Amino acid sequence: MKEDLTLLLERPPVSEENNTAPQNVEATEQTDSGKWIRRANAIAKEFYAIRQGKPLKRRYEEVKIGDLKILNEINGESA
Amino acid sequence: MGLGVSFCSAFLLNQYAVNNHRQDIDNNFISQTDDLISQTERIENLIRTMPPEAFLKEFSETFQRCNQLTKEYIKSSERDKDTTEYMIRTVLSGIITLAQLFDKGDKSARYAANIMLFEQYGAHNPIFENENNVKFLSHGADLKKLKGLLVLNKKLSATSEEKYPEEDSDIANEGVILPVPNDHININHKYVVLPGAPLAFLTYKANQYSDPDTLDNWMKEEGDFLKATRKEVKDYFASDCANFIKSFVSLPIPSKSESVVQPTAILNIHKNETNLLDEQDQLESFTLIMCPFFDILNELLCIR
Repeated sequence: MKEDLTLLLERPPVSEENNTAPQNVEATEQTDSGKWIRRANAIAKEFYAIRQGKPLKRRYEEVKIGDLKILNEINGESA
Repeated sequence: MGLGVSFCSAFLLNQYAVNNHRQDIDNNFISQTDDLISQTERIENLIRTMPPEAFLKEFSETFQRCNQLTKEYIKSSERDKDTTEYMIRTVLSGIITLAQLFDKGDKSARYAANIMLFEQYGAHNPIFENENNVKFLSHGADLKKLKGLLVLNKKLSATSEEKYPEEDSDIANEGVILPVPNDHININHKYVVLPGAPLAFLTYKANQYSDPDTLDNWMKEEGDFLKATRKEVKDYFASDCANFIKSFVSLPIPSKSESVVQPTAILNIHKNETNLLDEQDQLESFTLIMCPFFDILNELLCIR
């Protein structure tokens, strides 16, 4: 849970005008959409690493524990 | 005398045979050269249209990630518009990544993608009430006479700069609305539809502009536009609103329904440098390769 909270808090602030994500961590944790946003963030972060030219192995090495947990969850559920 | 004639005849016959043989060799040589040129062109074409090194591996992974996320999200019972748009932006982020790789673009270049949705003309549709919101509309043009409008919603946009699928902050909050006439050409076979998304929508074909001058030249040479409209477009791409767009492509997202003869939406990809996907056949290859992503976007747009 601590890792997940860290990941959520890492998200850039979202203004009220352009609010595209739940406003606070507590609400995010309680809703299903929070789970999808966490997953989307983990994937988008990987895309960002590709754009930065990082090879696959290094990308995985640099992904934080919290992200890895989400990626494993994504891979695990689809298997 | 008789001997002389015989000698001459033999000589001429010999020359004739030699000439014929030489002709055969020449023809054979020409034919082989043609074959060689043809094969070289094929190899050249193959190399030119082949995705860059490492592209396919990244394509496979990017598609897998987007496909998994979308399929599982669509199956979930709790969906809402905001989250669906977040998913769309994630897919756009993947598309930007692949566009950058395919374009062999520099890491420092800024790529962005957005989706424009079509609004068919309807008397009660509020978007048709104020013509001032529509960009590049010829002065005095009647919105009622349009086929419809293409609407860019900022929430359906993403950039290469963002680590998370945030909206493209360079797009104005009110978005962009472009007119779509009923036909793309007039009786003089000149285009009357704006280049980019409206042209892609009406022709159902991708189009590409390597730089702002190419865009202006296209409008001047191929189109039948008022000088004022051309100036408006030129000024727009030089203004703070769009001077970060140096080249762009517009791709139609095909409809899933066979009975629908128009695209579901238009995907625009732009770059803050010139020459996006402008090598020969590059756009065509990229459009074909991206088809699986169009399916994903279609599914997400359907549930939005």
